Amino acid sequence: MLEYIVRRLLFMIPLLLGITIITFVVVHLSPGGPADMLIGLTPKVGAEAKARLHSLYGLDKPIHVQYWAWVKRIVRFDFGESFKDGRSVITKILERLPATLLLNILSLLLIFFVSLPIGIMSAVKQDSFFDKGMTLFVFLGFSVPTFWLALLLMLLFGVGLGWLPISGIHSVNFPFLSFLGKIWDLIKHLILPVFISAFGGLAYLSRYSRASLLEVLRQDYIRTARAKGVPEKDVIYKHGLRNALIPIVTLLGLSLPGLIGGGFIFETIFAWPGMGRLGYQAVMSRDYPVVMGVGVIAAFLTLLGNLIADITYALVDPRIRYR
Amino acid sequence: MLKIKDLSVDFYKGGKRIQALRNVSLNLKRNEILGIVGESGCGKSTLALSVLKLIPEREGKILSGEVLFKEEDLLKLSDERLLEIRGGKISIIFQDPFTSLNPVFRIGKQISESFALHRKEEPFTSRMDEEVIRLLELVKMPRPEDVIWSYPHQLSGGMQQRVMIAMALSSNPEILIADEPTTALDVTVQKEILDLLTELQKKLGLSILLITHDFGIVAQVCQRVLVMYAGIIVEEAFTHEIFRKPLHPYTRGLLESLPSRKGPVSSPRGEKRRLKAIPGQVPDPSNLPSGCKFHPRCPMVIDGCKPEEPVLREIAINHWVRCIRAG
Amino acid sequence: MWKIIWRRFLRNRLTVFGALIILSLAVVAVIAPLLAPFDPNQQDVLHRLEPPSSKHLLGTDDLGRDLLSRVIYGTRVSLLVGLVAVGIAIIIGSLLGLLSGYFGGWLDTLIMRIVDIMLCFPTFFLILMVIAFLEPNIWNVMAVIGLTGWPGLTRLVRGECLSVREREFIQAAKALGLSNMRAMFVHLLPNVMAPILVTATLGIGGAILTESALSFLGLGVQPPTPSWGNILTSGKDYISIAWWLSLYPGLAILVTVLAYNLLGEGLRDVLDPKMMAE
Repeated sequence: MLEYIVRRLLFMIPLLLGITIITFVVVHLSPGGPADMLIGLTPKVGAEAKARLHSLYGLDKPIHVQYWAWVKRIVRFDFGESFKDGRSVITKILERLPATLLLNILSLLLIFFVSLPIGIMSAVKQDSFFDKGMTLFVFLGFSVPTFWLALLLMLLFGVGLGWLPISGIHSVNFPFLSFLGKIWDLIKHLILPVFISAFGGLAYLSRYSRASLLEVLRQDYIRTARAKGVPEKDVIYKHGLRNALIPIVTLLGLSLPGLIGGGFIFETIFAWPGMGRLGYQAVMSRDYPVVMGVGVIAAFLTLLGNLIADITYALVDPRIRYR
Repeated sequence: MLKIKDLSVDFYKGGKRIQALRNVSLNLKRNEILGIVGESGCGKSTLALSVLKLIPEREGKILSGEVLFKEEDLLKLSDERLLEIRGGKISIIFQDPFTSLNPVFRIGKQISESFALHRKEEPFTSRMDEEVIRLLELVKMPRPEDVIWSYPHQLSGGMQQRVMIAMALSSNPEILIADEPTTALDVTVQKEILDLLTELQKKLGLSILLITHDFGIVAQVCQRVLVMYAGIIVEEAFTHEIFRKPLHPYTRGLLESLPSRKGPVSSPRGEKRRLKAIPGQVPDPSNLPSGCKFHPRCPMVIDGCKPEEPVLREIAINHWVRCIRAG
Repeated sequence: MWKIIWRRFLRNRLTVFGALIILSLAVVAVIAPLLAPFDPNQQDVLHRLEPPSSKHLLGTDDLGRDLLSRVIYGTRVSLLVGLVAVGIAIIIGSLLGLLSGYFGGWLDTLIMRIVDIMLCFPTFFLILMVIAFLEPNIWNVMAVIGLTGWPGLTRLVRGECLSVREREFIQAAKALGLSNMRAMFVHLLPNVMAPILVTATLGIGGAILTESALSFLGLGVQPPTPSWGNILTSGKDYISIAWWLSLYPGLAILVTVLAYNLLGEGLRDVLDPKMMAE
């Protein structure tokens, strides 16, 4: 098992390398070149000033030297300073990260606790009304643009019914609320964003849970369990589910990148003060250091999600744990 | 002991309805090992599964018939009673032990589950461990103390099948159904398992229903044998009788197609012969021939074979054949 | 063989439904100028933000433009993006997948590593980053969606190749002196076609979703060119006073993507088992 983890970690190294390469390439793609990236000058600056800054920032050095410098900076999480307000990029990111993580973790929990029962029920009552209904729902779920759904829900609950706030993480009067009031305020602000964030994952994982359980129930060992006289309920929930959960749990870890990616959209829509919104604003204002920083961190989190998925897989499947 | 009467079962495969068994009847006597032999697809596994109603509703349907175990019709039992019988009075072991064991539970847990189900005891008390070990010793498992903590994938095929047998025997069943128990194993292991089964049968007074496609196994282990083809029984006799004088053309074809070697399977003149195969193919179960199901491939076919299915007739003592040309 | 596939196809009503919708949309896109009651860019500031009426069936936007016409013209954008982006992804993905699956060895490892690295990035953010550095316009959007979409397909094609490669007829063909090129394209490719087609169809739906999300954020198709996504941007801005701006373009996206998903899933059922039975 330890060997397995070590292997997965080693495998990550080329991926990390790849991240540095790709981000480096992307920076050099920008029309103004990396000069803009580091300096943030408008085109109005004279050629001479630009040349000076070029040599100052080492942009006239050969490309592999630049690349190496980039790698060294990434390792220290040094993304420079934001163009907008000059603050250190990494600081800005770390400020926003908790909000994003809160959103993502809650989404994952929601996905797990809702789609699993749906999937199981669909599998157990295959082809029933419930199953067919859920299939339809899932299809719609795959086809709907989440940002549109967000808009609709905002319309319905925010504007129309006025039940839920449609932006931010705190209400204006937050500091004046009691402790319980604060908690409730937070919850109210969380409901819509978490739901939207989880929506795509809900559809996908319901489908997947169903498929996984159905596949498991087709196996010979399920037949053996029945032949032993195990009651049908236990056959499904004890013998079957335990096996079906293996790929499902792994998939949860792999859903993280999807959540992070989607975060850019709905954090913006809901004015949620997270890393996604930061990234989006940075993109819109061409605040390249921040964009790079957010991009790299997002990639790291993806890798982390994959690693967690791999470790979880090893934990729940004895065939991996004991070779 | 176990009496199956006129069992008919249909299968659903890919949206089509297939005839799997038609009017199959048999009688498993106390303390005997009865073999059911036939090619793949002849319905023998279906027969085994039907006894304990192990065919899922989506896959097949029992149309008619009775399965009598000590006067109780297993097909009409309440769910509760059925659970008591399964693994309790009647156990079944399957062909591929690797896929038949749950990969995420330890061996000890899987075996003691049977105890918990049929002896109404709590799993995993220390007394339970002892009993599981004793059971594993009964099936000649090497190092049972280590095995109970292992997972199925850590064991060899032979060991896995022993585990299956142990699970099956854990509640002292009266009948053991063995569905091709050695087909997935190496030849050397096959013999070990068969020897084990015969020994256990004598020791515990079991009645065994052995399903196989291999006449060699039948010769080694079974006292009586049934030959099946396309969902029906075509011949039934004592083992030695069937080898000595096979009456149904299909049985004869099967025996003749076995490679010649010392023992009961050489030609009457004891000479080496070329491998003979039965011409034609096993019929498509969704499109069975009329009359005698074997007639398109039968070397002895006459017009009378085509319109109507022959009945099972007792040609010699305890030797039944479904063929109008036998005897 | 094609007849069997066709008949099976027709039996699944939902799939046919999806296909019909797609065909209708294609027609709408082509004859948009004939169909739209107004010029989609014609502004009429006096009549801005009007709810649906008999004159403007879906209402008007913040510059007084007729929503229905803009939605109709938006069909063109979606269709174009879907086809081109997926086209790019398929060509690159299939090619690399074939090479990877057929030759194996270091080429395979190299390609698969690249695929893994690319799959490391949350796709959407990768697209976002690239668009940020380039200019947001429809061509860049199509290119980027296509260029980020090929890794998944490569893996799929490679997997199919690996299973088909072992089959005897490839060995036989090579024994007869068949060149690698021909082996790949003439023999291997047709067998791999089925999952490619399915992925492509589903991929078009995905590409449309991505494009609309990008346009919504202002990073895709730029106004005044109407895209369902960028219409929704003003939908967000005027959410409390013009609900129609939020509802209809999104509905268009939903129906379109649903149609592609239905078609894709239907194709999967129709093509796969049949192919395997062959």
